[in-house]
Amino acid sequence: MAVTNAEAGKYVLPSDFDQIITVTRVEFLRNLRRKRLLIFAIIIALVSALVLAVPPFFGGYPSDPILGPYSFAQNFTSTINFLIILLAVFYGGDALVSEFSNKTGYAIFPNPIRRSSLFMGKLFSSLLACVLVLGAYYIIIAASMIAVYGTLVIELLYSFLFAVLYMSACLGVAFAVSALMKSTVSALVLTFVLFLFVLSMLSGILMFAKVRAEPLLTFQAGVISGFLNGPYPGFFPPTEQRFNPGGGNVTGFDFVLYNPTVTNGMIVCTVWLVVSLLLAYAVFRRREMLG
Amino acid sequence: MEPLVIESLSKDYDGFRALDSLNLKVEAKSCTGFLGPNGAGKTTTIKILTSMLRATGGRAFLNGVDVTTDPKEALARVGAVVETPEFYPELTPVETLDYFARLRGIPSDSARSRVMQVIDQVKMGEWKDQRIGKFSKGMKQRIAIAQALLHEPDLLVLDEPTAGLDPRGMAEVRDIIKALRLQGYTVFMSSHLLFEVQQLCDKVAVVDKGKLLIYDTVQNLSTKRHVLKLEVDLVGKIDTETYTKVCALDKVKGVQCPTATKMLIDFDGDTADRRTLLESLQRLGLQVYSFADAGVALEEFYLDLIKESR
Repeated sequence: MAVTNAEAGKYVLPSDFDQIITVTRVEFLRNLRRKRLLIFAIIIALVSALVLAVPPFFGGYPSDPILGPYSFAQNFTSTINFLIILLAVFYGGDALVSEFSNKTGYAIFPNPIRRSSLFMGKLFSSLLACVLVLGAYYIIIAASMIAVYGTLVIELLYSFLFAVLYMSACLGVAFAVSALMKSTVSALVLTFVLFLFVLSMLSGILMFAKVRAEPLLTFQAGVISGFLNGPYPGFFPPTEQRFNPGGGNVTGFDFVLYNPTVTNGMIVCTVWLVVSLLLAYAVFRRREMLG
Repeated sequence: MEPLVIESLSKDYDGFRALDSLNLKVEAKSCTGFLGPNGAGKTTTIKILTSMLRATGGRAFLNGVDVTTDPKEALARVGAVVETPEFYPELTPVETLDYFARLRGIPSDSARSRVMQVIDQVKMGEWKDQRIGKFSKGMKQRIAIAQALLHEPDLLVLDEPTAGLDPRGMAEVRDIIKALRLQGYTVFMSSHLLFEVQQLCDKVAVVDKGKLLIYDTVQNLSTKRHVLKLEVDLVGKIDTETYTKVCALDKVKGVQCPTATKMLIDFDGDTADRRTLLESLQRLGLQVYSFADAGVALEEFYLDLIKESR
């Protein structure tokens, strides 16, 4: 007959929830101490400096009294997809695989903690780190907007909230890749290649074929800057824009630019987030410490 | 209730049977050595016990809880060191052990003092606030032992606990294990070092090809082998006449002299006969300053056993 810890006069095991909080705290501390946080601070500082310093040399900041602040903020978000992908790669790509490839699992798995608690703790800490970096970037945008225009637009908040959702989905994909890969390096490289080349190339190919790349996660990144096109919803980019360099005289050279919509963007990001996290968890829960 | 019970435990890796219906019961407050050649199934067993691998069949109970179905509860009162684990390089030993203490439910007011206690026990006080990323393998092994002791477990599962340590580190770890035995811990440890098992353990389980070959006390196994190897160290040198006289002593089956002042005696006798042998050696005028098991009896028995199973 089994004797519980309390009956044995030993320490009482914390609940799964308490253990998730413990894992989140420690993983977040690790994230803060890694050099990658410094790298993101440098990237943000450089991008912000460029966006703020370059326009005055070419005629100054956008001067339109209504659309000026939006265009100004949109300049900052032009690089945000790349920033979010980097965040997902660095904070999600090695989150799970490192326990196996770096052998830290030999220390953590013999502890009385469910894999689900470990998974959740790692996920929350990665999300926290990513939101911290992304939040810092948006605070810089907001502060700059106030400094230059003396105003703040609500669409910046919409953009930030969607960026968090999009980033969560990207992080979910990174976790799935991390759970499936055997080595940390391969997980990081594959996540990076998947976002920057595979999905982006597919998006481009589909656009040339005049097909909306709606199911692709990276296609939805356009919503982030779409919010900053002007007051929402009136100025949000149309679902498609047709261009014809030949002015209609030359057939076959017309070009269609597809833009994501907010509703579809939220649905697609949520589906990617849920499916990828379920896959990541299923693999992580069953994965054995071999070798 | 036995703290460790293994029932028909099996594990297959892509058609290869690493564990084949292994059965074993480890008694409370005992130190059991888990021996076997490479690929015998030792680490596989320990990894199943510590929730790193899933068993293909069978069950394994830790303090009465089946680890294959409820690993969280089963591992609550178990401390384990499996291979040489790595720790998060960004953390210090204090932070790492504090993390494990929280996961195990050690109250925060007593966690700090307990962490410092185990850090001192494994002699890592000097490096307690340094990041682990800079540590050597031996230092990490000490941290691993510290985390296994942190919650004062009923059962310690150790997979080659002295692997990767320098001779001084090995001796220190063995001293820790000896002390733990005296404190009433149950220890289940695998090792490649037979003399280590003979020195530390009171029982030995030998496995090969995933099957248990024998499980008995070290004393019984040595007796079954009949011939013991005794190591005798002398103050003076051994001459040919003395050597011949020793060879002729009752129950002595053979004598080797690896050095001029050391004899290895093959001896077929019990404890009382050993006392008689010592007296006889002294009567021959030999100045004996050390008289002990050479630790090879178990090795010979083990090698015979493995040979038979192959």
